[in-house]
Amino acid sequence: MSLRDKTCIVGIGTTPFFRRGGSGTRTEIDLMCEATLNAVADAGLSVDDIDGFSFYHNGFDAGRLSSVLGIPELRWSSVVSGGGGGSQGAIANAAAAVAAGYADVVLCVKALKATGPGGRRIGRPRLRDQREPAGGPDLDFNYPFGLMSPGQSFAMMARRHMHQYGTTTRQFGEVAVTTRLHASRNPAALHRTPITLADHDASRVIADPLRLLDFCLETEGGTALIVTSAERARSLRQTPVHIRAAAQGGSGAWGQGIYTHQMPGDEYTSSGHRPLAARLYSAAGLGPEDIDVAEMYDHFSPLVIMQLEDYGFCAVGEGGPFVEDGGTRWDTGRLPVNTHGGNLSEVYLLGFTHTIEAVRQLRGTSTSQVQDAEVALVTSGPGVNPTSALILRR
Amino acid sequence: MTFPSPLPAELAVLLTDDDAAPFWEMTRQRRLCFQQCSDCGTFRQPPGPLCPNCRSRATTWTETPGAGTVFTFTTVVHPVHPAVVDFVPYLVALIEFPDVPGIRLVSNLVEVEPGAVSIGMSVEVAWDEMSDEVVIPRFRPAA
Ligand SMILES: [Zn+2]
Repeated sequence: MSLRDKTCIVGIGTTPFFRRGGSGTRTEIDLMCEATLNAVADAGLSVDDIDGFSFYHNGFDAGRLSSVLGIPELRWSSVVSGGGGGSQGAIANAAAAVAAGYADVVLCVKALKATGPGGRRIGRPRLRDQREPAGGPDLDFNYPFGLMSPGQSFAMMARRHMHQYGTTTRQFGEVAVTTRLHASRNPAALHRTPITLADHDASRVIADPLRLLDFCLETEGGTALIVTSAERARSLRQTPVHIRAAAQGGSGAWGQGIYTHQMPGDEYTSSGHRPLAARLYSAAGLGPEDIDVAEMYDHFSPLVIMQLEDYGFCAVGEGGPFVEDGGTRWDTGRLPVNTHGGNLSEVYLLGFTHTIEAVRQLRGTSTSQVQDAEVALVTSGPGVNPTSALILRR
Repeated sequence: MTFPSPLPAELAVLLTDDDAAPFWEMTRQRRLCFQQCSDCGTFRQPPGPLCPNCRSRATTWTETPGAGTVFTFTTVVHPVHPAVVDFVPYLVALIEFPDVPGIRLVSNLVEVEPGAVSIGMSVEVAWDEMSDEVVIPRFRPAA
């Protein structure tokens, strides 16, 4: 059974984007509701039409959200396990629920606060009495050694990629510079001042070889998307964006990835997306040559390079030269990547901003519009299992 | 022999479970042991109840002298937690052991400057007694 083109993303919405602490005393559910109302209005629907919720990253209490929003009847709700790797998986699950007839109009929603009510700083370690059972005793093999944040783990993967393939920190810098260039064209982006390779090289080292400008932003806000059937989408306000195909998961041996570092063989220097790429292209009946624009989860700059390799836009080990040659620039690149400014420069809200930008590209309304964009790839957080990805088409 | 720990004892408070407890019981005796399947010989790390290769529950704890190589490493410069503010920079590395194929251990490199570290360099275990309860295996360049 195939989900190909059976469902569409028909509405997108966000709150304003805030730097850490910028959303003040506003609650997480307040941010979710604002993004939801904007997505519903964008779609030309009413909140009364929503009958399903799709979450990821620990989700949110569906009963509370349905009562606060005034949903007449909740017919389906689900959460993808894990962290930011589940963002596109939540949209995939929404598509599956609509195709299965469990729900007609599914709200995919996520808000993130680093401070205040419901706030938590992503990547901030919590020592023993604050650790979650899910992390469990396995963190005994990290914390006593001071390995306590994703950035430190990705630094070790980046170092190994440099060793194996000759990748350079200058190439990491090129990812940061290109992404900022795209953000400079996006009025909603939080960091819009263009940067140079020299700026990247002068930014402080956080965990060698990674510098401050290789890290995503620490920000706050809400994001929402509405998924319904392709049939219903035809009568709605926006150009329908079809969910062509979806994939979730990763190699079993990937395990807890950046937490346990037991990724097998050459997968250590990958984003973990390689097995998904094969399934995704097969389900879509498309290949890398058909992708017009890619919005790739960029919590750390080297992971863009690894995803370019894993999704077959270049050979494994050639991702560094690909970006250094300007391959990801919106106007002249072979494959424009993160045309909104990504997690590195626009905002970091754990994944849906990439989907929202892909929808804009396929509607023709991006601030860095790729001419005649028809097919987009969107990916979720690499390094964990499950991660997930979508191919969308106009 | 002891040396000044590169990291605070505050980090070395273990939450261990029944699967992992033997690892830490043996490090208290300054023995580095990894879980190995008694049936097919596959090593696994972190410890778990089942062999992922043949699904046998029969387990041996196999000791290694701790002579390994650096698979990759990072010099942590920014302290991500208040507990390590006075301890940066420090070196985190992944160690592989030729006699324990298929697994890696997250650890630290000590008694070496970051600039002198390279992937593939040979290291040996350096025991670090954090408390009466917790002894941590760290690594120094091989003699
Ligand atoms: Zn076995």
